[in-house]
Amino acid sequence: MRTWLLIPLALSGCVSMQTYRAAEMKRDSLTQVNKGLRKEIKLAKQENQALNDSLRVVKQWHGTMMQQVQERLQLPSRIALRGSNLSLREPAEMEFDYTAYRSSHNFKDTHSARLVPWMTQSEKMTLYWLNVARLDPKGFCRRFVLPAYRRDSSNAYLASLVDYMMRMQPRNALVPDQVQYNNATCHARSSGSRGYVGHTRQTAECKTAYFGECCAYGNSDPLRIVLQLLIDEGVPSLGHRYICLGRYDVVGIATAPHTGYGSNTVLNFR
Amino acid sequence: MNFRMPAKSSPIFLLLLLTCSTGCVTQQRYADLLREVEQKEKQQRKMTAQLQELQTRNERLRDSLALYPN
Repeated sequence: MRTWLLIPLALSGCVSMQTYRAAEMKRDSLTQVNKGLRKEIKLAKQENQALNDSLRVVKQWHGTMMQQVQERLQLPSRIALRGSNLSLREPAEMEFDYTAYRSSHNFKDTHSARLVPWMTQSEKMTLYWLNVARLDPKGFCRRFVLPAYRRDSSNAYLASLVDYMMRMQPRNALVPDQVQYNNATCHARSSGSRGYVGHTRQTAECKTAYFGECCAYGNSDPLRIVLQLLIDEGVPSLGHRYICLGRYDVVGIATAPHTGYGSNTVLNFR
Repeated sequence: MNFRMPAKSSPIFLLLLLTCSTGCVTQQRYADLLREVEQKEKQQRKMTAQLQELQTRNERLRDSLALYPN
């Protein structure tokens, strides 16, 4: 009888093997998970180090570049002295009542053409990049023009564009206009089929209802088209640059194949 | 080794001895294991938080890097 009493007493002091094994399995699985986590942390730390290094180098380069630009801005005559016959303008001269201008125009919608049914995707993207350059000239310059200037700092077109965009006030976003678009399409197609380069209309159907027109040849990439017009290499008047960054409200952008250059884009501003 | 069985060992006592030696572990050993599991869980939580923080920081660094021209 005493032995029977001993059984529950002895069993109360131990845990079943099943429970113990379950806890052991949990411990093993946790060990594996922790091992994986340690590896991931190590990789993340390495990535962090690499990113910090890259950022430091980029900031250093950017600081040097901005210092150079600031020095250039303090001495704008340097560009003219460099022997170019470019028709340089001071962006400050164009800033008349900027507050009223800003309150009455669209300064937000970069992608104003996204819902327009008559434009192609490439034409919409051209308008998008043009609006990015107009709404944030400094940001656009830092991102796309300064790298080109860094590669070729003796190029007066690039240097003058850097000066202009770093000093100018933001412009309003352009809105697509169907009349301008139809005119631009007509001229792009007629010029493209004839291999013509210029602004003279090739057929009687093509109208000229624009206040400013830019034609870009040889590029089909939207960003490159905008950069080509802004840099305006080979055009001493820099007319395309001043039109693209000028005070207009609407635009029609049409791209068509060109027999001589492969592709041509016409931008009609009003 | 000189092992002596008790003089008056009943079959029930022998069964109990067998069960305890093969099918169960002491409370002390189990408590140690549980403590170890708890420690590892705590470690896991800490490392997960550390990893998340690092990933967030890396994401921010990548964003900052994208702001500068290539």
